Amino acid sequence: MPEDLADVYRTTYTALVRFLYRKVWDVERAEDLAQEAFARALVHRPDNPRGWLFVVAANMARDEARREARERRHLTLLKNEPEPATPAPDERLSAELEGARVRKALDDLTPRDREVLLLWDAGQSYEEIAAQTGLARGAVGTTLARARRRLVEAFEKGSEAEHVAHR
Amino acid sequence: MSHIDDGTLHAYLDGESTAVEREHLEAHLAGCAACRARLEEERVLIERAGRLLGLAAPPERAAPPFHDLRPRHGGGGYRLPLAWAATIALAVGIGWYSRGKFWTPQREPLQEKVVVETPLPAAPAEPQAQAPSVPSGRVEPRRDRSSDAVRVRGSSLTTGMVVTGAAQAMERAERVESIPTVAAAGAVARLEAETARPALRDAVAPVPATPSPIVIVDGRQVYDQAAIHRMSTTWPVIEAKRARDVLGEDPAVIPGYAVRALRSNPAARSEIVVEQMVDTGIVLLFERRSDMVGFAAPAPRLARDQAAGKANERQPGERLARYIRSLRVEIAGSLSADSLSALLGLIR
Repeated sequence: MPEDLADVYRTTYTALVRFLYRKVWDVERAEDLAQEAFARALVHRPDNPRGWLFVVAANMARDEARREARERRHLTLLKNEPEPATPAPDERLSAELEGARVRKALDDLTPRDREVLLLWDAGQSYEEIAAQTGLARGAVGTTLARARRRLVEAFEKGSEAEHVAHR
Repeated sequence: MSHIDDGTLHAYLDGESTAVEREHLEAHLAGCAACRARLEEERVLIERAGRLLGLAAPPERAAPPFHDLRPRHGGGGYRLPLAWAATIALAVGIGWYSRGKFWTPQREPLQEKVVVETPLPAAPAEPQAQAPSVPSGRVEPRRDRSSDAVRVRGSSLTTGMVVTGAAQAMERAERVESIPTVAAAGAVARLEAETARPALRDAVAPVPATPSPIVIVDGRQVYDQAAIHRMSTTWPVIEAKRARDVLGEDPAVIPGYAVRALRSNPAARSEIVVEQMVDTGIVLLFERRSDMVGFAAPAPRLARDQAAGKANERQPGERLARYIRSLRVEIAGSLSADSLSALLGLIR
């Protein structure tokens, strides 16, 4: 067992799950994909396992999203049920609502902005982000600045919209 | 002189500027109030975006043991054998343990600053179920983070932390699971723990039934437990190599206790946090190179220094920080100041 990969596993697994979760929005699926990425790394022994893992994970999440989109198209033909009524808000629910709002805000970012933001949040350095996204290192800060601003703006806009809708 | 663009400000706040860029930017900031104001705005933005991302984080669960990962063969999944089940049992036990003993329910508003100027009255910790119901119509959104109290990595589970840190949990887990390897590892670790660290067990006072939510760090910063919990759940995990790069040497640790994670302070990349599990909870070590103290985290430091005056008056002589080699290490955790001080003394 390569010691360095075990080390990477210990330090990176949680970040990789978080990164994947914000792409597939399903914690079990995110964990499965993260574990598979590490399992593949055991076979491929990449030189830069951390960078490699995030690239592979991003690809797997994209494939996953495509497959899901295909399945959804089938499902919508079969399923025509009304959405369950929203129960009265309480603390847990408001946290969930906020989470959903962040999710919507994240999904509304451009793919590039989202990718850079998620990689940064997963603990990658500017240099690593540049290497993985193909951006110039000097453009990472600008992209992050824009992504953060848009995330906050989209979140606040979503909050306002819901506030109005509840009146 | 032209003003600083957003990207440069973010790179600076992220601790990703080169020395030359930093020098240039600081020279400009010294003479440009507009850019100083923008720096502060961008710092707030970064914090806000970081917190929002934290709201969309998955519940953290233990990683399966690394040596159990196998590449996928054919259509089946990769192997997650019995030991993984034991890991879950342990994690659940520890979660149960730490929920009662360490993490108090989150009842602080989301927007709360990490640094507070006045210590709050020490509210008794209550289990989530008994927390008083909150009147409806609240304006300030709150979040319930008690569910991510379970944050144990697989790699830590065979070390002393499981046995000494959560002896109760281990005993529970052993009753539930009788996987020989795990139980044996636990027994060995327990033996080691009992023979190797008698002094430590004396040094660390047992956690009171209602741990104080106030933690004094460095005698002038007052973190509440919510802030510490937030740090230990949202600050990005970094590799040992990165920590070494930041500090210029290996991070200092309390010997004999499992390191749960190394983290980087998103607002000050020159600072790293070592998360260690001790007998009664998690201890955080905030470390940076002592020669970086002056410039680390430009904006956050302002807030800290403003809080400094009052906290100093309240807590004279309580400076829970040490210089070790070329590092400056602050300690925080939900232990008494005496215990933290004793732990600080053990750091190498």
